[in-house]
Amino acid sequence: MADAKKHTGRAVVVLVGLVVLTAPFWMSGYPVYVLSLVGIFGLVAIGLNFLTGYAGQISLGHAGFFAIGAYTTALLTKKAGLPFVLSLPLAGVFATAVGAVAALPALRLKNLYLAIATLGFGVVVQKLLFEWQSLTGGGAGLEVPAPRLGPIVLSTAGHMYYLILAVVILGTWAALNIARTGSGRAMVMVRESEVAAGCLGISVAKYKVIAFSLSGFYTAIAGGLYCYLVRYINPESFNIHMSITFLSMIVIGGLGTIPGSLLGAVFYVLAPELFRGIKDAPGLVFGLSLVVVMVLMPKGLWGFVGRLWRRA
Amino acid sequence: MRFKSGRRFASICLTVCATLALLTVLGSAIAVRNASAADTIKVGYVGPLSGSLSLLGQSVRDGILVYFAHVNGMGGVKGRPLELIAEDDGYDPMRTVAATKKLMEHDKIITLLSPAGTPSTVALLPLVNENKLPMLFPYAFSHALTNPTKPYVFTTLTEVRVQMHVLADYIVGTLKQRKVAAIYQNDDFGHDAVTGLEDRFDALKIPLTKLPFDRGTTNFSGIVAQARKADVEHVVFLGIPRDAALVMREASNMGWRPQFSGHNALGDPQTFKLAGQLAEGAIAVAVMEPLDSARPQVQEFLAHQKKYLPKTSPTTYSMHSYNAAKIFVEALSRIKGKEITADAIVGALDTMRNFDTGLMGPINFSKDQHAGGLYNAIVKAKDGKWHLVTPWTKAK
Amino acid sequence: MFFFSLIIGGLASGSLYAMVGIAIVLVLQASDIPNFAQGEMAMFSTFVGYWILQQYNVSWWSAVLLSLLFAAVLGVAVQQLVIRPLLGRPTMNLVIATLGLNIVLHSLAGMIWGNETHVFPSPLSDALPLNVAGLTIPPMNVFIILVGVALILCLTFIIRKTRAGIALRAASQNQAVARLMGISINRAFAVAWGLGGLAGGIAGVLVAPVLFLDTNMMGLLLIKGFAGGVLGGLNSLGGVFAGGLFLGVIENLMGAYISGSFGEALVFLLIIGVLIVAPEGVFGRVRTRKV
Repeated sequence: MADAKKHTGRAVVVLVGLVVLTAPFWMSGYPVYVLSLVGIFGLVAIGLNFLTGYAGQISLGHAGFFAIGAYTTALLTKKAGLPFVLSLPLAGVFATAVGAVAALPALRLKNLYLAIATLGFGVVVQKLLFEWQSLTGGGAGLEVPAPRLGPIVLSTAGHMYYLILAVVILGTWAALNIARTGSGRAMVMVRESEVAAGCLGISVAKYKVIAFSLSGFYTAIAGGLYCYLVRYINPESFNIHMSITFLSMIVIGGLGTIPGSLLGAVFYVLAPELFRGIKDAPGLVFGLSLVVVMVLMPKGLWGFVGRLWRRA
Repeated sequence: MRFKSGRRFASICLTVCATLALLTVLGSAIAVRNASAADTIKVGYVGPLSGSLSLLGQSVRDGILVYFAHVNGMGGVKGRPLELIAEDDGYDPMRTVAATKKLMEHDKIITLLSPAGTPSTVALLPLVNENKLPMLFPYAFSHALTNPTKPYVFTTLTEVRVQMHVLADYIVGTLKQRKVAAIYQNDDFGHDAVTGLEDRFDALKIPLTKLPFDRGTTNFSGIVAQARKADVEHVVFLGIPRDAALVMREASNMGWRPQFSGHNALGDPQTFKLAGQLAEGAIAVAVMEPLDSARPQVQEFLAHQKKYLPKTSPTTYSMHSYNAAKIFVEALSRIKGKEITADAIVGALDTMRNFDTGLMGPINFSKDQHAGGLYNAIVKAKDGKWHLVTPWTKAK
Repeated sequence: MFFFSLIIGGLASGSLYAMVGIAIVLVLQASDIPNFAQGEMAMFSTFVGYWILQQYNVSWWSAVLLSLLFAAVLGVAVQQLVIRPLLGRPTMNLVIATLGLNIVLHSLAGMIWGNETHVFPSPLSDALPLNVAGLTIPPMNVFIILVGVALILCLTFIIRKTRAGIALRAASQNQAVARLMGISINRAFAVAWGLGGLAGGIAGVLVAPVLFLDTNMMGLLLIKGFAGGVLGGLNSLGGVFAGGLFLGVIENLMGAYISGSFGEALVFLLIIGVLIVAPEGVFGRVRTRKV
């Protein structure tokens, strides 16, 4: 019976792989766009999971990193004419630096105190982007040219989809590897008990900074991909609600797990699409789904999938 | 995470993608089921149906629904019923773009009618241009909508910059006041409005005290205190009526009663409902007839909203979109032949001269001029109603 | 003169943050759960009161009392239906559940009562502003501060001196031992959430006359309540209250003297600055935990 299970599992996986890899050829523009968003938010979720899931540091300000990534990429492309293979990583590196600096005041803070401090970070970033009109266009927003690499221009939905898919696959692979290394385990130790970690010679401060920087990196790259996908960014979007959405995503998906990150993104992007048809109450149903998932699935969607799989 | 090899990693990825793809297919299936009869004329709307501006978003949607219900009750346009598909964007320009994409691809709308929200509609400009989607008469105030003229974008709401020119002229010319403060939403809309005021005041060397506030804030005491300290005699308020009422209250609490004014959103019955006596004597720029106007078409609008959406109250928002729907239907009826295409609609609008809906000054469009709301007036609050105190004049 | 009017205005605004803060911290202290649905729960019960006032010919006080009763019951209901099944789960799960509840209540209120803004009356509506040494002081906000202080004193008394209160403290400190002492954890938490709901309801009926009643009334106040609480220190009701008041004052001072458009961001930077020096708030006591 275990064999049958393994074969079914493999078949499902292969089928799905085919669907995902060929999507733009048979799905129309809007579903491809939706899947692209799932990929982008998946990257954010993976990044945030390093900080909150592994290292146990709560952040209510990750829209700030997302915005930094989006605006840096947009400006590097628009004003410096950089190709995306340069603009995206540069945006990531910049955000990493910001993350490292932002982590410093946060080292001694916990729980709600940390939450409010990170909230402040998000607010400051949003405000800065809005007020620095000469650089960012302020409230009028910024139009973003299509990403290019030499003569290649990624102008269609399909192009962007494959770019995002490639980055997601790369990011997931990297994340799995990081999780397995000493750094990953150190971060988990920091979450479980800072005192014990200290006793074991783990520099709590160092790993908190690493966690912040790493999550900033992932989130910023996602932000850069986002600006290329939507081609117009406005400070209005990068607000507290976005940060709360990011946090909810990883908890719903499965805190501290990488598949959970991806599942959380799937849920967050697709659930509103499913609920769209419900007249006058999409918000209500969405809120209810959050409560229901939390009550019925303590380890999030991935934990639930795991449970089902073991029981099958 | 105890993953041994790349194969395991691949399976994880693909399992997740499985769920993803499955849900997308499901979602599309549900959407297709919700799709309506092929016969209807599908019109899209996007606006903040949720969040702090939900009254704006829902009211603008309601105005369209009322007029469509009225027209459908009389057999529709060219025998075809009108259908409105409304999407929520929560005042987030990103969601506006996503929602419009969906409306275009999934619902195959022929026009985006009266979308609500200033930054949101600006975000749509590249998209509607690229896809040749008419975006008609948004409830938005941005300068960028008609400067330069965009082939598929038409407006009836005078942009806030021009509204402020009219107001500034009135403040200086008629009221003879020169100590003015602007209390404004610290966003694109507010900044645009202040630019309009400064256009006139800078030329006349009149200083303007600028006091921004974050949309959604509950604390106006600080900026009202600052306005008072600057010894201004006139406060231009640029925001929603609820916040205007809060500012008026703050001022009154301090025992201070400057002259208040605002853009067209201030000239709404809501202002009286919330500010009561404190609103007396305030002035506002009018783009459309006040809701208490005696003109028959205004009365008809009020009656229609009561008939088709009795649970909602008519507002300047719903009157705007009702008017928008009226012009849209007029354009449709001017199309020769049975086929309704985007270019046909634009063609009909480009030749619209002096069309009077009875709800505002006559509408004029041409190929190079897509800003139809050129007539403005000033209204003043008296005895719980807004009254016209100047004639309708063409803005300079 | 100008400076003092900023302070007065700041305290008035801050009184709203402070009231919301009390409700949040009560539940936080008792059950270690930040209730992100607190704002909407308060808004919902205030709407119930408004509806009773409009529909039935009762006095303002009766309507308000009924709304407070509803608020307390709602608090208990939320605890029994949402929080209790999630006991023992990681805090993040509870946070997300309350966030979901936040959305549910907000949508529900919009569906039932619509999106318009209403005037919520109060006995002090027609009261003239007090005039003290040339400064005008809004009476409603003075009343709010007085109610806040009275509430803190009452709650502190309940928690310190009554059996139910002591049971609550025991339950929050060590559930296992509390159970062994015969304390029903469930009952203790129900009481805590009922009181929290009540405090929230009180905040709601006090905020509504000041800010007008609509479904978005409490949206930003929730965050300000948390921020003020964090600033003052989440360990004590007094600290949270002071933090909220202080927050209102800083908002005004920073907005007036440093930058109007950057005001909100600067306030947060200040909070972060305070937290660097005092990680548990100005009045917070750093809790020592046995490892």
